[in-house]
Amino acid sequence: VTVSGHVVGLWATLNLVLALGLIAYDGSPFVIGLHVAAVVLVAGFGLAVRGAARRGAVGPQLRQPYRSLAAASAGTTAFVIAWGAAYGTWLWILAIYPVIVTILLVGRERLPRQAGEASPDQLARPREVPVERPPDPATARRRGLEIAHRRRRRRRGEAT
Amino acid sequence: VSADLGSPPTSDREGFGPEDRGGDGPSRRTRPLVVSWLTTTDHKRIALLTLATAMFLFFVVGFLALVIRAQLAQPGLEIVSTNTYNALFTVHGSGMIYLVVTPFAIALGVYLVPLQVGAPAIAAPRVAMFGFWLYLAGALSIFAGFATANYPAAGWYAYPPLSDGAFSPGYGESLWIAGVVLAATGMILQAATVLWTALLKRAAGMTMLRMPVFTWSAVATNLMVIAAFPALLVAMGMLAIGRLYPSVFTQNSWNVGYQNLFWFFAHPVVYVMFFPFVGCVAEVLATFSGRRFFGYRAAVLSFLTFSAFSMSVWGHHMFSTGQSSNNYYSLMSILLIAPAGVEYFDMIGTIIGGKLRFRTPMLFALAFIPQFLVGGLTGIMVATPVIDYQVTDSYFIVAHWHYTLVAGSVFGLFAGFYFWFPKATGLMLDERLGKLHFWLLVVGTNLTFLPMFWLGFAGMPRRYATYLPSDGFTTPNLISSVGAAVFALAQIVFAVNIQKSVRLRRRPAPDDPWEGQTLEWATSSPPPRTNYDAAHPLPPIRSYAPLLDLREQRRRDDHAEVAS
Repeated sequence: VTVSGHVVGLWATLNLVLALGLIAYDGSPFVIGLHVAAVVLVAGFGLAVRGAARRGAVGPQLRQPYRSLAAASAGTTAFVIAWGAAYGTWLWILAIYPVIVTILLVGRERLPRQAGEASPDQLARPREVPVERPPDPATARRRGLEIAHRRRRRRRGEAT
Repeated sequence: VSADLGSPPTSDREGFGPEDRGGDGPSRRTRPLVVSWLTTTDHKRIALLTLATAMFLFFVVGFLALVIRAQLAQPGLEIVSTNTYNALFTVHGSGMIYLVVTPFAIALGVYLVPLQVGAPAIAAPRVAMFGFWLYLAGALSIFAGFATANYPAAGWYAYPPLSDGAFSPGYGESLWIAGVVLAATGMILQAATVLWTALLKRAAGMTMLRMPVFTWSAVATNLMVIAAFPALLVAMGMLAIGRLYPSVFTQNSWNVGYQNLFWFFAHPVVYVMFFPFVGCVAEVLATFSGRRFFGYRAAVLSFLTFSAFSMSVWGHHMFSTGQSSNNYYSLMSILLIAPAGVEYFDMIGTIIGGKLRFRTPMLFALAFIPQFLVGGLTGIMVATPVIDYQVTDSYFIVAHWHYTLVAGSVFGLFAGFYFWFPKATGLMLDERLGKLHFWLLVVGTNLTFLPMFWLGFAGMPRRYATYLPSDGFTTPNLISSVGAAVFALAQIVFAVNIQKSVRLRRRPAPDDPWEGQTLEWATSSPPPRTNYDAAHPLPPIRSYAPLLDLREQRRRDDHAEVAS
């Protein structure tokens, strides 16, 4: 992970050298500033990587949100805002609805923290989610026959 | 978005995915298929949604090019009006760059990087999915321009003042700008999640210098995305503000400033559209040569230096403005030959002495090598001011561009497509149709784009809707248009191949149909939700080709057994 941070850092440094090299070639301040701004962005990303590594957020990540409906509503928000910029900012009022949906969903789509505390054994054997499934044809036929036989026995007065 | 367990990867972990959790929501199985795809957090599904959209748009945007070639097949044709022609080349160029090749390149990383580094998931999957929605919204916005009275027609670089409200009135250009912003933002988000995964979410044993070549290409690519793409957002923001408030940007310095911002994005994006396909070609060459990729460390170093150098050559697109430092940008552009040469040396070193198997992915990978060379070397030519002054804005540039992106990147794209299609779908493609697709594409590509070099030297300007018989452009244009038809035929064969393979499902793919070398070939085809499970555990990782290590180990054990 240290190497990961260094890769980003070295790449940013090499870019900084290239940006400063423009000074020797009469590069305009705007052009040099543009390149340096990109270096700052990458360096910021590198620092975020380093920070995450120090917090121990390293290695395969098993706890994930279970769905991404919030992403769809956030995408709708961005779509409305972008079209509002083209057709008139009054459209932005419509973005309120997907924004609310996004805010409501973002937290709810996360797995409970207990999931992160599960032991590797539990991870290997996930709890079964109770699911209502239609029976397969063979089961349906067997159950149907059972019911029919039971009725027949009842009509005959036999014990069921 | 979510926290880490921080536990080391276990080879027997299974099924603890978002869809397999207990009690706090419906499982994937209970949701309708479409809904489960559209609300997925599985990186493979997110990638496949993006890749499928990009592939569909490849056909749509490619069709626009066919109309352009039909118009230019003979002098004086008026199949479409001049304005429509302008819109066609605008949406063809911007569509291929913003909506097809770039998203395809980044989404390949979304699919492959977690698999190749042994991660069960991508970092921040909802951010990656948000990226997909933004990309889709961007595509809709750009094409919505065709439903307006004034199509977007200012070219893919949309230079002001041509793209401002006075010269490009109406909603078409505004929707185009909105679409570019949305799609580019989506790509930044997807790129960031891939980079974060490669840097921080690797399995135990997967050190940086054991990451496969493709993953390294994705790292270099995504560094460039993070550094360069925000400049495009600023440039588009400038255009949008200029259209809303025409009095803001009136000085010519703004126009030159826009060009700097635009090309600061637009040169690196060429490498964003190139590196992942070099990665594909590297994996394919190594696999079908039965050898480890030659010069791995040099290739890694060359990716990083190549990508850094590519950030400082944008000014060579502005030689003719007289506003860029010619010496600096020319020098940097020529310096690119060094890392590019290392990559070429590595690719050729991999196949020399190997036991080559000429399957469809290998054919595409082999063709990539000489064809991209034409694009690369002509790139050095046009990055030399004295030549650039002569050929700028001519068909020579169009030819160079297309040799880079079609003869190069698209061939790498198809090498990767045929290579990983069985892994992603669990189905093999038809080999005969694949080879037919390859040969038609080789003929079509070279027939279409080679004559454009001569057209450029003869002085034909780019973006002209027609020409006169006396111009002397007729024969090369006719050859080029015939080539485009062959190219289209190749794509039909490709579509038939996919349709046939997916519909008939006659050829199920084994886990490792090619004797692959990287981790993804150790898991099932298609991979399970968490990529590796009890039935398909992560193999030990001792190098950048862990599966090749295993095969070699097995071979050594067999020899030892026989000897004893």
